[in-house]
This record gives sequence, C-alpha cells and structure tokens, in this order.
Amino acid sequence: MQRIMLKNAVFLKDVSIRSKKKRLAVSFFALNLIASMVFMLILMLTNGNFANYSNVDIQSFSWIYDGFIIIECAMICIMAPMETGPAISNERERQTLDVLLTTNMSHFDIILGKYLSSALYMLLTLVSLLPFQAVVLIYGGISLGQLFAVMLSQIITIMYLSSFGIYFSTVIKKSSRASAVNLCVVFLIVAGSALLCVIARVIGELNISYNSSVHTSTYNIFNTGEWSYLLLYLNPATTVFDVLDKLVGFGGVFSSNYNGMATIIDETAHVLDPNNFFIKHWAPIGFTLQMVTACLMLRRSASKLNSVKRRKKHGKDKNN
Amino acid sequence: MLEITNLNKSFGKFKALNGLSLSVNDGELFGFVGANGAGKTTTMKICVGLETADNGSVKIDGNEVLDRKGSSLLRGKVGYVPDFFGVYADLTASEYLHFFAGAYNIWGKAADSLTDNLLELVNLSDKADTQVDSLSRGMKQKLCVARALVQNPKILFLDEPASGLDPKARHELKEILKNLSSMGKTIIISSHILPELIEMCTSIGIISHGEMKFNGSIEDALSLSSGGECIEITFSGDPGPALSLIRECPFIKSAEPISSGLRLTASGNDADYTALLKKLVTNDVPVATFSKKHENVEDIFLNIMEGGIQNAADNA
Repeated sequence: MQRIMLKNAVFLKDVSIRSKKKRLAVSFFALNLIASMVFMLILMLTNGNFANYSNVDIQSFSWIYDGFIIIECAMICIMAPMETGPAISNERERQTLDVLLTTNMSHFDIILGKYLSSALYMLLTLVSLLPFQAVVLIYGGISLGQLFAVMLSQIITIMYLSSFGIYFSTVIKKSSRASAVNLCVVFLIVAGSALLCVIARVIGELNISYNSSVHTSTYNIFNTGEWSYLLLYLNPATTVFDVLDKLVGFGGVFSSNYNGMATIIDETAHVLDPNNFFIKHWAPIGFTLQMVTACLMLRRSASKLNSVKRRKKHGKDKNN
Repeated sequence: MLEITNLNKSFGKFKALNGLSLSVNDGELFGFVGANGAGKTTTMKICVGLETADNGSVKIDGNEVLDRKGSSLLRGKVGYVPDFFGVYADLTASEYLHFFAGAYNIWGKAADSLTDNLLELVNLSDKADTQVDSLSRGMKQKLCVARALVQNPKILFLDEPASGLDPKARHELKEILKNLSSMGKTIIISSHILPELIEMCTSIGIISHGEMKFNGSIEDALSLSSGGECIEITFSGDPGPALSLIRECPFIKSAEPISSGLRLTASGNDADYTALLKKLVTNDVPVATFSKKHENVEDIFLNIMEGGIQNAADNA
C-alpha cells in the first residue's frame, strides 16, 4: 500500500494540492472546535461535577461513545460523496483528464490515486477526532483494542462509500451533479436498504397472518420477506452497529443481549437462524462484501474512465 | 516516419474522418490546416490514444500502431498538447512538471534534473516556483509544451498551440518549436494562424471534411495559387486620376479600395508594374508605397480546402 501511494503521481499531486489549501486547516479546526464543545456539553449534562469522581457514570460513557460514533458515521455518509464526487469530474471540468490519459499511468492507477487521496482526507478527519473517542479510555468501559476495532469499521465504511463516489464522479461530467448523485446513492444504500427491509418484512408478516392456517414449516426467506436482511450486508450502518453493539454495547436500546445484528434477527425473523454462521459473523462478512464491492466499483470506474467509449455511446463529437 | 493511411472515424452519423491519409517525415515540422470540424483534433486524438479509429492505419517507421480495436499503442510514447491548457492552477510550474514526471514513472533526482532541463528549454527557469495560475497564457502554453516533452517523445502533437497568444508569446513558442525540430523531434502542429505555419513548418497538410486535400511542402502549396498577383498602392494625398490611369492598363484585372489606397489584382510582369508606377508618378499621383504581393496565403488554402484547385493539389 505504501508503495502504491508513494509511487502514484495522482495521489501525491492531490495530497500536495489539498495540503496547500487553507480549507484543510480551517475545516479541521472548526470540526474539532464543534466536537469539543458538543462533547463537553454532553459530559457536563451526563456527569455533572467532574471534581467528584463519585459522580461519574461509567455507563453513560458508553452511551456518549456510541453517540459519538453514530455522529462520525453520519459525517462519513455526507463527507464520502462530497469528497469523492468532484474527484474525476473536476479533472474533466479543468480539462486535465485528457492530458492525464495520454501518460503512462493506467486508468486504474489514476482512479486509485483519486480514491486514496479522497479517502485519506476523511481518514485524517477521523484521526483528528480520535482524542474525543479516547476520552472513554480515561474512565474505562472500552479498551484500546476495541477503540481501534470500531475505527477500523469506520475506515472500511469510508473505503466502501468512497468507491461509489469515485464511480459516479467518473460517469457524471459535472462535479456538482456527481456529488448530488453520490449523496442520493449513499442515502439509498444506508436508509433505502433499511426501508426496503422494513417494507419487505411488513409484506412478509401480512403474508404470514393472511395464511395463518399454513404450517410454519412452509415459511422461507422469500415469503417472509427475510431475503431483504441479506441486502443489509451492504449497508455499512448494520456492520458498524454489529461491531459497536458486540464490542461496546448499545446500552440495551435493542436488547440487553449484545449480539449485534444477530439480536435484531433473533427478535424479528422467523426463518433466519441468529446462530447461523453468516448471521453470527455479520460484521466480518459484511465488511468483506463491502470491500469486494468497493474493488468492483473501482475496476468499473477504471473501465469507464476512457472518455472514448462514453462519447461513442452518446454519438457526440466535441472535437474537430 | 509517420504514415496515416485511409483513416476513418464516425461519431454517430457524423463522419469526422473520411479516409484521411498523410505522411510526415522524421524531424519535420508539419502544419495541419483545416477549418473547425475538419478532423484535425480527431486525427491527433487517434494518434495519441484518446480516440479509437473505426478503421485505417497509423504507422511509425513502418510499424502499425493501431490495434484491432483501433486504439493507438502510442499512448504515453508521444507528446500531446491539447487545444486547452490542462494545467493545475494550485501547483507551481516545477511541481506541475514533477507530477507529470511521476506519471511517466520518473522519480527523485531524475525528475528534479528533468524538470530543471525542461523549464530551461522553454525559458521558464525563473518561474519554477511560480503558481501555474499566476503564469501568463504564453507561459502556460510553454509549460504545456515542456510537459509534453517529459517522456522525451520522438513525435509531438500540438493542437492549436498558438491560439489566443499575443504576438510576443507566439514568437517565443515558434522559436521553441523550431529549436525542438532542430533537435530531431517530429512535430505535428495544427493552427489557424496560417502565415505563422508557413514561416515555421517544413510541410503542411490541408484537411477538409475529414479528407486530406493536400499533403506536401509549403512551396508546393504556395505554387498552387490561382495565378493572380496582388499590387497594393497607398497614396499620401488625393489620388486624383489614379483609378482611370490604372484602368487603362490591360494587365489589371480588378481594383478594390483599401485604407488610403488601392489593391489591384494583376497578371502582368515586373516591367508592366514598373511602367504603371512611372505612369502614376508622371501624372502627379501622390504614391506613398507601391508593393507587389503574392495572392493571400489564406485564399490559397481556402481554395484548396474548397476543392478549387483540387487537381493541382493531386498533381502536387
């Protein structure tokens, strides 16, 4: 990875340009300022006087931590499409893409450079917020290993969502339109898949109550709508929740049985077995599928990068 | 030697290239002339690998460089300066060249010395640390030429490089291109500024509607004029009887007014013109200048493009 990054001219150029901009420092400062103020406020509200250690509610720290991670994940869902949306379309708008395409760099290298530089910015944002996450280490309730495990799940989420951003940035000419489409796609992946799951399950439940005389042995994932749970493997919210619930616990919001997605499936599904290998290991399987999807999106982006094919398809000629 | 034979390219129903053929010898500075939409950029893009050809052949030193799909295998091996700057405003001139050196897998000290040499070649050494955004149009264009030279290509394609540049910048660019040509680079340059092409290029190709109308030396192109000569006379005062005196001359075909004088289309010889001048002066016409010019270069090219002297071009 280090070799890929240090020998990728597009990555180095983008990092160099980003680091020169005042926007980077200002945005980090603003983000950390807001985070510190919000964090202090929450701490004050939940733990009152810090001078007296007996007032400290350890349980509330896991709540704060969970809340903080959820906010960070929401931030990733907004940042990933906004950061990657202009990645390729900006090059096209600046008319530098054609020049890049005449160099020795392969299309995949160009895509990879753009992808990694966008992801790096988001990773830096996460790292800058790490001290706030680490506050929970002071009072216990979470180990350093757990902290990094949760962060790894966030990194995978960044890589996954950014790959969609890069793809739409490749196929959509205008960067503003690419960013807007990216936001919609991320919304569909996160909220859309969850909504689809709810609708499928409601229909499944209606189906079950309508055919109440039918023996439960005839239930399958299709007539109960439980097939829709499988789609949730591609929803990063479910994988991050699975990690968070198993490692830190969600304060008993969903169940006192901290088994992540297995708990939800156990309480809502008829056919799917929560002890099934694939359900029990929701996060690792979900992350693997998400990373595979990210790789496929990047490969597809590389094949779409060739402006030749796109013009041919639309039968347009903007050249002489 | 670059040899393009029967190159075809269509965009939907629009035929951008219609059996285009041309040849450019090694070390030549080849001018590619044609109206907007004639197919110049498409030809260049096919050669550098940004477009695929429907069919046809592109050979360099006798070796085919188009694959089965019509994609050029020359990608990364030839220099290309498109008809837009394509620069990163946030980088300095030096960083810009370093970036492209990296894109050609040239890193470290090799990239440093390459960047220094290229900036020196295009007379931008003193602008190495200047933001690209702050450079003038002419400097940006020179930087683009330097960028196209990063991988030390044998062939350079420049698409309208002088477009929008002031006379000084055009002159500097011309000198750089002449210098590169003297270094043995084959340069294919498209431009609408015809007089400059004539001054700079060793051969030209005139393209119209995707077809090559003429491919040969500048001298051959100029010899394809319709035969008429142009005489321009300016007066320092009232021309008086000048027009009636001129009309008496049988070798004068037409006369049209220009600012403070007349432009004549004539078919005489030098003795005839001397006699005309003598006649004007002896009749007290205040002649300020009297000059003989070839037919307008642009007219010659227009005639060739429109097929007016097609046969002559074929013979050439």
